[in-house]
Formats: sequence, structure tokens, C-alpha cells
Amino acid sequence: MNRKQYLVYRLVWTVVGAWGALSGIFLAFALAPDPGQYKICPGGGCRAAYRAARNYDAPLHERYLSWMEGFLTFDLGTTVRGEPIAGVLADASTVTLTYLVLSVALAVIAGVGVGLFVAMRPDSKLLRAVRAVSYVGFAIPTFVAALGVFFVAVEYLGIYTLEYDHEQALFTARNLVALTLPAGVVTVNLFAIQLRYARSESVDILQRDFIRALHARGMGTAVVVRHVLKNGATSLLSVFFSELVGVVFVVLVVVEVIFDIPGFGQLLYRGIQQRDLGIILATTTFPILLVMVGNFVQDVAYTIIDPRIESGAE
Amino acid sequence: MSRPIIANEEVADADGRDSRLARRDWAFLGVLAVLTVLLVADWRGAFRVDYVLFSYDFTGLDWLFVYALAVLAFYFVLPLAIKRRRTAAYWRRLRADRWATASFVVLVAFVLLGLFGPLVFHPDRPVFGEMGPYGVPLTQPPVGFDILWGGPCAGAEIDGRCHGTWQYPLGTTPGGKDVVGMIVAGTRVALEISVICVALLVPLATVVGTTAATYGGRVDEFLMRYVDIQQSIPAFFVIILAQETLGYINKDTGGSLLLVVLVFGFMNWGGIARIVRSEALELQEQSHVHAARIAGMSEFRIVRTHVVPNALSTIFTAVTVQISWLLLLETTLSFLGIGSKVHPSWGYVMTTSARSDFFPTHHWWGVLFPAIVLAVAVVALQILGDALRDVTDPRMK
Repeated sequence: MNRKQYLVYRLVWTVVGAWGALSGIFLAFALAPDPGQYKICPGGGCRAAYRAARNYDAPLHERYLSWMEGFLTFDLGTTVRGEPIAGVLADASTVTLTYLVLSVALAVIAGVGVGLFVAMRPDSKLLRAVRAVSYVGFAIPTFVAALGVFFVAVEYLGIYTLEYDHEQALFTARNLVALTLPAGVVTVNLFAIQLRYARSESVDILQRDFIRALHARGMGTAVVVRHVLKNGATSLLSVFFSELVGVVFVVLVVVEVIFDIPGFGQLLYRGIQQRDLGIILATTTFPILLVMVGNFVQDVAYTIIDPRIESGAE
Repeated sequence: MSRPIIANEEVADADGRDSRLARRDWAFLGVLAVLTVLLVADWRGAFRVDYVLFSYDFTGLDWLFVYALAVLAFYFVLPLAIKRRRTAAYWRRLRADRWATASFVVLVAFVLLGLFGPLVFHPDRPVFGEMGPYGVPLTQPPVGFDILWGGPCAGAEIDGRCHGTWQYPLGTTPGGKDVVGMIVAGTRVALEISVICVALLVPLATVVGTTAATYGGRVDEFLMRYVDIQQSIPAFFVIILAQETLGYINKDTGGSLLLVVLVFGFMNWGGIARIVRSEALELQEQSHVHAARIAGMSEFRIVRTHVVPNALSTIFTAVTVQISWLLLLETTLSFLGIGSKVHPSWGYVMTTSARSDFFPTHHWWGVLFPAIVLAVAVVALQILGDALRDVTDPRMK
């Protein structure tokens, strides 16, 4: 298989996977009755209208087609309150992405850097200390850490301006400052995980023969670092996708609920609390599709970073 | 590579060691059959075995726990007990690492606490605590602390401040329950979900991983692509969606712990399957496996006697990470209100305390102490997992 065929092959699998996931979710919810029709219309007066608005009485295959069409055209219907979900989702995602991109980048770079740094100094006190930090950082539930940070900031340091002001726009000084605390919690959490993998991966690579050959030829640290990074890049990238992405969303929801940030995580939480099916579906399905696309992008990146993959062998 | 197909598997059975393994498999299947019959009998209401034996109504989670214990007993404890020399060698190597030994001791303590602690602390009683006068729950700080509290107080009351008492060393929850007792009850829940998670993850991952490696070609490609897709779906979202669907059917808002474990178990075996597959592929090429194949061992037996034992060390490490995830995820789900509302898990204690009106002036102890216990368990799992990779790896000296 050459590179082009390989990528087309992976693309087909991505599309099949996305289609399977969407269909699975549709079936699960199509076959379960929506409680909204009883909750919003207790007397039963508007149940027919509620059902008609959501197309519940149409035959299954028609609902399936319109569901798929809705996702493909970003027409996601409305929330229980009547706001368009696509707009709400876009607003919330903007808030989240504002701090998330920076946090993830910082956590990944710092995690890989520190992990590699300590791996090159085996049996040192530093290595042990870093190991301990990454173990403990991983072991504390995010919501406990976030609550702790929140109360230390408010009760002991007396910083009250750190709370997000919902009346003001996102890109105002106050709200950008308010994002620093949740961003910090997310960064530290991801850093601890990335550090763990980066360290063990680096230790693994540093034991290989070609590193010894490099040392024997009197190469400096910079050259060794470059070789380790090049060799570790693929597996660290796949760790990023398989482990970090799953964690990111969990951490997001917790942090945004505790710090009251009107982002993606809070939207999902609100959907669960208000039992708003539209919001829950949009906030869970899109990330799933996004991760699948991300996986495909990762495959493309692999073929560029690591030429061995092109041959088709893993 | 040619793989001779041997019709009569009895050839390999002539070997004494192998037939003992086979007997163990039969015994396990027997236990599984008995369990299934009992479950069906209990479910149809013909014979309430759980009441007769334990005077306690088994939930789906408890049945799975019994199954998981059977898996671990037959395929983890029994081999360790039979192969004493190998076990002793593992133990010697584990002893060389101080931290790993400490973690091992901590985890054994957790297992014992989870198994036998609830016999003392009764987690099956309703999650309502001891009431003070007028039906107001006790709010008791930990020993050495005092709080301003007008309600009932079990300890010394000095200047209107309620002092901690040794009756409730770590204080009480907002429901008035002893935090120590709730931590012990939570240990049982944590043990249940971890053991179930292992008993779902490892067999699934082993079967898929070895199948992919053994048959190769299209089977391998299909299985691995499927694993790819499955791994790109975060279990967190599937749990949310599943809880919602289930909530729609049940029309109540409480989450199901059974569902959390099942989704987690069935969604997260992909990584381990990959590990098993690559180990198996490596082993296929080795001379003793070639020899076994030529001697007429069936593929199934080769996988069982050569591939699985060699992959165990990496499986161990991966499993400790997964258990840690599950325990952390459980607390987070509880906090978000999609965890179980009937199981006294650590997440439940932390959530009810953190969501109390008086948090964090009061009830910080209901968050802090379970969090410490959870952190200790997770750190111990991580250290032991990393150490086990070195200890059980047959390729290490």
C-alpha cells in the first residue's frame, strides 16, 4: 500500500466509524421514550405538539434520515427553551477553546520536556520527585483539586475578581483573567498524565542501541534529545489521542461547573441537569466525531513523521 | 508460516501440566454454569439464593462481582498458589523495591478492608445516618477540630462549639453517617467495580488480541480497525448517553453504577488488546512456540500456555491504569450527578459533602478524607503497576 491508498483506506474507516457511532446513538434514543413529553407537558395538552416538533411520530427510517441530515448540515434543532442548539454550542465552544488550546499546548510541551529531561538523568532524586508529582497529580480527582484551588483563591487570598462575569463579553479583561484558574487546573491535570507517558517512553527509547551509538560518537545532549523526540513522537501522539482526549472532556466539565465558566462543559452539565436531550446529544456526539476526525489527522501525521508506517506494517 | 492443524488435541494433553490447566478451565466453566443457573433462578423468583446464603438481595452489580471473583480466583490466585516457586520468585523481586512492597501491602489492606470491612460497617443499610434529637442529622467534625454548630453534637460542647469525638474519628457526613464507616463501605464498592472491570477487560482484550495475532490478515485488520474506532469514543460520553437512555426508560434521575462499570469495561479493552496482540505477534516467531506447534499443540493451547503468560506483565500495568481511571471517573460522575445514588461509593460521600449547604466551612472532612483514601489507592496502583512490569516480565533478569 502506498501512502495515498493507505490514507484513503483510513479515511474510509473513519467515515464508517462515524456513521456507526451516529447510527448507534440514534437507535438508542429512537427506541427509548423521551421523558420531556411528560415533564414539559404534565397535563398532556401539548404532548402532540412536542412530539410533532421533534418528529417522533414519523416512521423510523424517515427520522433516521432527517437525524443524519441534521448532523451533516449543523441543523441541530432547538433547546427546551427554544434557542437554536448550533448557536449555543458555538458560543460555548468559543469560551472553552479560548483557554483549552493554550492549556493543552502548554501541558503537552511541558510534559514532554520535563519527562525527557528527567529520563536523561536516571537514578536521580529529581526523577523520583517528578515521578511522585505525576503519580499524585493523577490520583487526585479533578473536582477535589478544583474545589481546593477555588476556595484557596477566594477564602484565603481574597481574590473575588476571578469569578466569570456572565454580563460581560468573553474577551474583556475581567473574563479572560477569570479563565486563568480553570486553565491552570486543566493544564496541571493534563501535565501530570503527559509527564507519566513521556517519561516512560523516553526511558524506553534511551535504552536502545542507537542512543548508545550516539553517545559513543560523542554527540551532545541536543542531538540525543532530537533523536528521542523523533522516535517517540508517534507513540506520544497516539497517547495524546487515546488517553488525553478522553480525560480532557471529563476535566472540562468538572472545571467549568466549579468555576462557573459558560463553556462547553457547563453546557453539557446543564443539558444533563435539565434533561435537555438536544443539548446532551449535540455536546456528546460532536466531540465523538471530532475525536474520530482527530484520529484520522493523527494517521496522516504519522505517515509524515514516521516513514516506516507507509509500508502498511504497524 | 505454515501452521499444521492437529485433529486430536489429546496429544498435548498427555503432558501432565497441560491437563491440570484444562481441569481448571473445566472447573471454572462449571462454576460459571452454576452461577448462571442461580442467577436465572433468582431472577425468575424460583429460588432466592442470595437471601438464603447472605440474607441480602443481590443486585446486578453483586452478581457480576461474584463472577469477577470466580475469574480472579481461577486465573490469578490459583496459578499463584499452584506455581509456588514462580510466586516466590516474583515476591523476591518485588521485595527488592521498597515502594512497590509498600504499595502491595497497601493494596492488600484495601482488598481485605473491602471484603471484610462491610461486615462490621454494614453498607447495605440505607444511606441515612444516625439521627440526633428531633430528627436532625449529626454534624460532627473530625477529632481535634471544633465547629460552630447549633444542632445536635455527639462530642463535647464548649462555648457553643461542637468538638470532635472518637466515636466519629473522621467526623460525619451531611446525612449524619460516620465518615470512617462510609469510607469502608466505599472501599467495598471500589473493590467491586475494580474487580468487575478487570474481569471484563482482560478476557475480552486477551481473546481479541490473540485472535488478531493468530489469524492475521483480514481478521487482524478488521479487529484492529474496530479497536481504533472504539478507542476514539470517550467512555465518558457513552456513559452519559447510556445513563440518559436508561433514565428515559426508568423515568428516574439516579444513575446506575452497573451501567458505568459495564460501559467502562466494554469500551476500554482496546489498548490492552493491542498490547496482547503485539506480544503475541512477537512470540509467534520464537523458537519454543515453533517447537510447540510442531509438537502438535493446538493454537488455543499455545495461546494459553505461551502467549498469555508472557503478555501478563504488560497487561498488569495497563490494568492498574484502567482501574485508576475507573475509580477517578466514578467520583467525577457522582459529582456531576450521573453516578450512582444508591451505592455508598467514595464519590457519593465526597459529592454529598461538597454539595452540602455548609461546605466548605463544615463537611470539608467528608471530601478530604475519602479523597486521601482514593489518592492513596490510585498511587499504590500506579507504583505497583510500574513495578510489576519489571517483576513479572520473564525477559528481565
